[in-house]
Formats: sequence, structure tokens, C-alpha cells
Amino acid sequence: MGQVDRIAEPWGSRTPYAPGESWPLRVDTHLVDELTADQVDSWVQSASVLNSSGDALDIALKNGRIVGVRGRVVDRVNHGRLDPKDLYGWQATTSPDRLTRPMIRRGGRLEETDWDTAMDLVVARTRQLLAEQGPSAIGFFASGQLFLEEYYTLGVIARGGIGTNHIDASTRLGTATAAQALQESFGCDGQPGSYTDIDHADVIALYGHNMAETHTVLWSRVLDRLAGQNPPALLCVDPRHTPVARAATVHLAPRPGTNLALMNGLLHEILRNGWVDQDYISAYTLGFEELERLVAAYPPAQVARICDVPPEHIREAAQLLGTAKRLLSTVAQGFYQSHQATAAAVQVNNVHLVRGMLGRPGCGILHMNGQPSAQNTRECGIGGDLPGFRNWANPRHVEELARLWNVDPTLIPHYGAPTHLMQMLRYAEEGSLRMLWVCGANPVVSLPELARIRRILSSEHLFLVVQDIFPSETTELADVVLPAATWGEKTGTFTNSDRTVHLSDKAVDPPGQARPDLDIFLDYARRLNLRDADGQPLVKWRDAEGAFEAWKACSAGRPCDYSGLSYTLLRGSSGIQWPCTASAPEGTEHLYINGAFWSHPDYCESYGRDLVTGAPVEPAEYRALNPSGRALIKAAEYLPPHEVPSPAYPFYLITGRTLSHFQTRTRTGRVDLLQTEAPQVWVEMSVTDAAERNLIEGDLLEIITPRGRVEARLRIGGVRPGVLFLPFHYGYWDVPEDQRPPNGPGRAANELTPTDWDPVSRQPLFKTGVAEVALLRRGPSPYRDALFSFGDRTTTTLPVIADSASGASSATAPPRAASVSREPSGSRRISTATTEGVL
Amino acid sequence: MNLIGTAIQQLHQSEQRLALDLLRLSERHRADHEIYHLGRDLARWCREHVSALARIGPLYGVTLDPDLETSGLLSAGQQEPTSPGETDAMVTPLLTDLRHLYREAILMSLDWEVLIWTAQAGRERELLELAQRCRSQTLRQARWCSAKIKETAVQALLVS
Repeated sequence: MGQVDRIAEPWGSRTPYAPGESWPLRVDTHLVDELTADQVDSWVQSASVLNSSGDALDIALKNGRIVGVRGRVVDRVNHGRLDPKDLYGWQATTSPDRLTRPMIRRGGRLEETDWDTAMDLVVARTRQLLAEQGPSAIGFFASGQLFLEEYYTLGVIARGGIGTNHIDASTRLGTATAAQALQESFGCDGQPGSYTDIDHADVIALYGHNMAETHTVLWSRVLDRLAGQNPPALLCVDPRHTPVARAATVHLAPRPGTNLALMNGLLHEILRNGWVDQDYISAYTLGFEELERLVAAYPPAQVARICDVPPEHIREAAQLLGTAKRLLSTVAQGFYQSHQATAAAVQVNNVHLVRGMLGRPGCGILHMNGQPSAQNTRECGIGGDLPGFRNWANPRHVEELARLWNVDPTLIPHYGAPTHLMQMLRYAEEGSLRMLWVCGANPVVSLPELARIRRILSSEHLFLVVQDIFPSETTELADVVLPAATWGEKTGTFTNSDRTVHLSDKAVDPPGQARPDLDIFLDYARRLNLRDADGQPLVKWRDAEGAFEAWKACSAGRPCDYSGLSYTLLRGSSGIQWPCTASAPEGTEHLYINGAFWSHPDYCESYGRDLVTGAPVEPAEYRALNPSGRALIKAAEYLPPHEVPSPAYPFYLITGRTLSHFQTRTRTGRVDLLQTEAPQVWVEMSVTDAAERNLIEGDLLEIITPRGRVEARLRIGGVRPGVLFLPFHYGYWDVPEDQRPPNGPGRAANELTPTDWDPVSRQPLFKTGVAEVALLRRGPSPYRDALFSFGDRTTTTLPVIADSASGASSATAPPRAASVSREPSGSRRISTATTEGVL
Repeated sequence: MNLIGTAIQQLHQSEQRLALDLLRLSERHRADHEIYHLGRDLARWCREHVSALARIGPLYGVTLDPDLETSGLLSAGQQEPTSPGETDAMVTPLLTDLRHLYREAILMSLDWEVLIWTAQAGRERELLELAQRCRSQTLRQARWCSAKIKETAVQALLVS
């Protein structure tokens, strides 16, 4: 049992293991006030909500308040380990900043009020708009951080009650492409793989996935394999020199926007060398010939020109993929938020299909999620498809829902795909969407081209309802603010990136008048008097468990089948993977064993889309193409990105995450330990670019695009030449009002990003813009002081001493910010001590 | 010039016209970002068809310009960085433009089909391959138009 500073060592101590062995157990515990585990009054079961890993944990209670967390050793996902954000981030929930009373706008200002007044206003406005224009005036934009029960209830209200097609979730920004890529290849969402594939794989390929920072516990598992016998080889595709890249056998750093060309090049080599499973291809797939024809035009030399990657590295990477015995691939935002997102992500599926590497240990695909309950938004039908992975283009699926809800099928909109977020905003911009209800999201920081978003959301023609736990840049624009309860203050379930369902129980009461999101939705349905065809209440449940039971009925017989699960089963045991049914009561670890796909025309969630135009495939066309439900190998040509560098804007600009923060920092920014680790926005630039411009570490730069300007300190290194990187976490809630745009300097990365989305997944692209930089001020001198004044140093990039006179440079070891910033500076010493119990 | 040559010449003209219409659509609806970007992406296919037709033309007695004259609408195939989209109320004009494009693309796909049959009958292997490839992309352009019409029309009609 050791004490570890998990800010300085985000992945904790190594517990090496060999292929096929079980990942050793290690229980991470963090308690405040120097408490020990035996002094805790009680432990309440939950899971992590500051990433999508689904790490199971117990909440420690002492005298009725939360005093810490401990990883659940019995859980299949984390075997007791926790992410630094989860170890320390819960402290934000007791922040004095919490929203505790409803507010409404009066005379241009938000004023506190009571629930009746706030909800009656929302209901009155809803009724008025329904009378004036109908359901098309009303839109809902939910989170990726609520619970399954809340999403399902909201979906029933919006589709079965109000009848609007305008409902989406903030998972649109993070991982809509994950769902789409799975639908294109397998006809249905649902990750084929399992985290246990890490235990068996001999090659792990990470595509645009900085797992070390975004899924730290999962990365611990990889690090433990790397430290053990017969470690796997790693392929990393990322324009940044991330910890994953440093651990990789082959690292490809393509030009931004060229992922599809790179994937076509890798497939070209795999096919040319005959590294394919012809039996698998002919038994279970369609479309191989088209892939062969298309990737023939992508030999390594050609791809090397497009991507600016050495051709021999492409061959080496293809050889890793082509000769793997057990291949695990993970995909994340580096693909999802870049040009031709879905087409590129689909090629990862194609590698597995041509190699026959699915449905057995070590052979998996994990299209990662970003937010803890992103998977549930998609399952419950508020992320772009109908509940239970039902197909909006299949009238029988719509009828099933109508029967389940006891409403007329014509009430449930299915004239087209559910309206995606960016289109909703366009409708709001042109004035046809007049009420938007935002639940647990912060679009004023998280969406592209913020000047436009601010303009749309502050329009007086739009009635904006915002439901959240903290005041945010978005609540400031709201007409009604509804204070919500958060994790630990309510009960519900959520599902991670490998289909594992966890129960999260209520530990404490929410502050003030804050209410669980579920209660707010139920109250709205009651006040609106939503009824079914027999005049009974449309929403027939009153609590989380009731909602879960209703969802079980909705999911029964569908791919995401929860019918074998219950609160009783989940409570006390731990995470279980869906589908979980009477015939698979312990859940299902791998999908698509022996080519059993969910792509039959009668069953599939989606008929797919054209990988270039995004136009939906017509139902009749799909039926003719895939009558027996095979996997689809879909090929696509590379198109140049919509913006490429020019003399005016010579850099590519990409945005992303850092380990210490989550989303727009509404929680992590309120936890000293995490906030001091990465307090300020920074910009990364390569050594060569900095030397050419005579810039040194710590200089204050202005980053300029046609959309806006941002000021940030320079961090040199860690990214390929020609590319700038900005973390997207920083907004304005902790900046004085007179220092925000348009008066003050911008610091939100999305001031700069273009409005553009993948036409297939309709996910906004945050990694395809161009930019210029200008020096505003030299950094503090000597530059070393600057190193400790900003930026998370433990993980991302190595700082580089650039000698501006000679252009020479050398990498230094990352200084441990932890050892400096956490020395007592007069005030109370902040404890980062985390107990590691290796069992 | 034989009849195939005439057909090639006509398609060369139609492809040029469709490209220009796609680019105009893109320009006219800059604030509808998907229309703006896809209009330009899809004009690229027309450009490729135009140069493919110009390459094969001499075999059938026609000399054609391999380049698309876009009068600055699409310089070197690259797009300018977008500035903040302006608000407009172009829903109905957008529908009109998309319907026009759809009609054009569908008619052109029919012309390509005629060329496919002709090439098949005349056992013109290279021409057949070209026409099949182009027709498939023309149909995809048409389907994109119809999908965008469906997506846009419902909201426009429900509101009005």
C-alpha cells in the first residue's frame, strides 16, 4: 500500500502483466482531511463521470458529506484504478458557485425565482409556440453527462409528446462519428470490442486517440502490458507527439485533414501484401472489390506526398497491422473531428474486416466516446437516431415505438433523420427554431465559431432554457436557468465505451433547490399534461428505477438489449456489458462473433449514408444491396480539406484536450488541484516553426483566423511542423466581464474554429482550420519561470529550449510542476496523496 | 465527328454547367455551411468529368477544353477560409436552387446512361469505364440534392 501523487503520476504505479493474464488489481483511494478508509461512515456505489472509460468507484461518506472516492476492485473496467480527474474532481460538487435556485430573465437581467414560476414560464412558452408554429419551433440540446433514465425520458417527451424532430446531444461534438462509422460498417451502433482486448492483443493501433490523457485508466492497462512479458506493439496516428506517440513502435504524424488518404494508403499496403482473410471476406462482407479498386490509387509514395509522412513509415505501419495475430484498434477525436471524419473512421473498421479480426479476444474495435454517458444518448435516441437503435427510415421501427408509448405513429417525426445540432442552430439563426432547451451543455464555449454562436443564442427571437449545475457562459444568455443535481446527488445508470452499464447511487442531497434532471423533465411533462392515446399520462414513471424499467422494455429485442439488467443486479455487483438478456444474463463481451452482424434490412439501425455527400442510402437500395445482413466494406476517395494553409494563414490549427481538465472546465476548473495544473490556455508550435519566427517558450502570442483572435502563451514542441495546437477547455466564466470578447482578448479556442461538419456524421470539425500567429509580448525572463506559470507539464509535450540565435534546440525532461506548485506557499498544503493498494 | 462525339460534347457542356451551378449554389448560400462546402466538393467531380471527357474526345473526333472555366468561382480547386456566416432568410431560394440542380443532375445521369449503352453496343471499353464511373458520381450528386431538399423543405413548410 503506497502513497502516490497522482497529479505528478497520472497513471500511478505499474502492475505488469503478460498476454492472456488478468490485469492485476490496484485499488486507488483518495480521501480528504487525512482520513483513512476505516474512518469512512459508508460507501456509495457509482462510476466516473469525468471521462468515458466508465471506471467504477465508491463515494466515501463521513458525517453526511462526500469525503473522497475509491476505485471498485470488483469492476471489469478499472480493477480498482481511478483517473486523477475522478480522484480529485468530485470536490467541485460542493463548490459555493453551484446553481441552487431557478432564475428567469426580467428586464434583461437574470433574477432568482421559484420552481413554479420558472417551469410555468417554460410551459407557457412551449404551448404558445406549439399553437403558433407547431413542434418545429422547439428544440432540445442535451448533454453527454446525464443518466440513461434522463435521456430516455427526455426522448419520450420530445418525440412522443411534443412531436419535434429537433433533438440532439452534445455528443454530436465529441463522438457522433463513432456511431456513424459503426452504422456504416455494421448497420448498427455498438462497439464490437471490449477493454479486455488490451489483455490479449499483440498489436494495438490508436487512431487520433491520445488515450494517455483522455482515458488514463485504460492507458494504465496498456502501460502495464508494455511493462510485462511479450508486450504488444503500438501504432499511433496523431500529429502531436503525445505520450502514446512516445510509447509507440510506429508513430505516423500526418498533415491535419489527411486521415482518409493515410488509411487508404495503409489498406493499399495490406491488400498488396495479401495480408487478408479471404474466407472471412467472402463469408461475411460485401464491397471488398470496390475497396481494392479504390485503394489501388493510394500507393505509399502518393500517400506520403498527401500526408507528409515518410513512405517507409507507412509500410512499417501497414506491416504491423497486416501481420498482427490479435489486433485491437481504438479511434477518437483526432479522426472524429477532422476532415472526412466518418470515411476515415470506417477504414479502421475495414482493416478489421479484411483481416477477419473481430469477435474474439484481442480482436476488437473501440470507437471511443468522450463523455461518460455519450453511449446512452445514442441508445436512448437523442443523439441522431430513434430509441433502442431504431431506424427512422424503417416504418416498422417507428410503429414499434408508437405501440410502446401508446401514441399515434404519425406523431413521432420520421420524415428525415433527427435534426442535428448544427442544423438546429441554423434554424435558430434564420428564426424558425424559437425555443432551445440546453441540458448540461455549454455551447457558448464548446461550439465552433463562437462569435456566431453568441449571436444566435442571445437573439431575442430565441427562448433559451439552460439546465445546469454551475453558472456558465451559456446560462448567462438564458431566459430561464434551471438548477440541476449532479453525480452523487441522484440515482441512475450510464454506459461506457465498451458497453458496460454502471449504476450510480445517490449519496447526498443536491444543494439548495437544485433538482435531478429526471425530476425536471417529469415536472415538465406533467405541467404540459402530455397524454397517450388513451388519455393516460404519456410518461408513466416517477423515479429513476421506473424510467430504467421502461427503457428495458424499449430496448428488449434490439441490439442494445438491457432486458436482463436491473438495479438489483447492478447494485452490489458491478458493471455489466449489454446486450444482457435472459439468454445472456452476464452480458456480452464481444459482438459479431462468427460474422453475426446487426445489419439485416429489417433490423439495422441505419441504412447508411454516402461517405462523400452524406446523402442517406435509400431503404430499397439497402435491401437490394445487403439482404442477408453482412458487414459492409465501404471505400471512399480522399478530398483535400476545406481550408489549407496560405501566405495569410500559414498554419493548420487543431484543438484538443489536456489531462487535468474536462470539457469547458465547469467542474475541473473549480478544483484547485486540477486548475493549478493547467490554469491557462497555451498554444503549441513545433521547434522549427518557433525557431524560424524567433519565438521562445512563454512568449505571448495572438492566434488569428478569419473567425477571431485568441491570446495564448507559447509552448514549443510536441506537434508536427506547420501545425498549432490549442486546448479547448478555456472559456470566460472565470474571467472578468470587461476582459472578454469583444472587449478583451479571446481565450476560447473556438473563437477561431470554422463552421464546418462531416456531412456523414454531421460532427463539427475542430481540427481543420488555418491560422496565423503574431508575437504580442515576450515571455517572462528567464523563460524557465514561464514553464511553471502555465500548463500541465506531466503529460503532453516536452518543453524545448530553443536557442533563437543558432536555431539549435534540445528537449528537456518535463519538469514536474507538482513538485513546485504544491510546496506550501503560506496557505494550506493541498493534498494529492492517493493510496494505491496493489492486490 | 460521329454521334458518340456529339454526345461527349454535350455531356462536356452539361458537366460545365452543373459545376458552375454547384459553385453558384455554394456562393449564394454561404450561411448554410453544408451547402457551401458540399457545393464546392461536388463541383470537383464535374471538373474531373470535364477533363476526362476532354482526354477521350479526340478518339471520337472532338477537341474539348480540359479545364473548367469558373471565372474565379473556384480558384485552383481550393476554398477560401470562411468568414463568419451572415444571417439570411434564403430557405425558399435554397429549395428553388436545389430543385434546379437536382433536375439538371438527373437529366445528365440519363445522358451518361445513354452513353453507357452506346459504348456497350460499340464495345468501346475505355469509354464504357469512364461513363460508368461518371454516371455513378452524377447520381450521387443528384441524391445529395434530393436529400438536402427533404431536409430543408420540411422545416420551411412547417413554419410557413
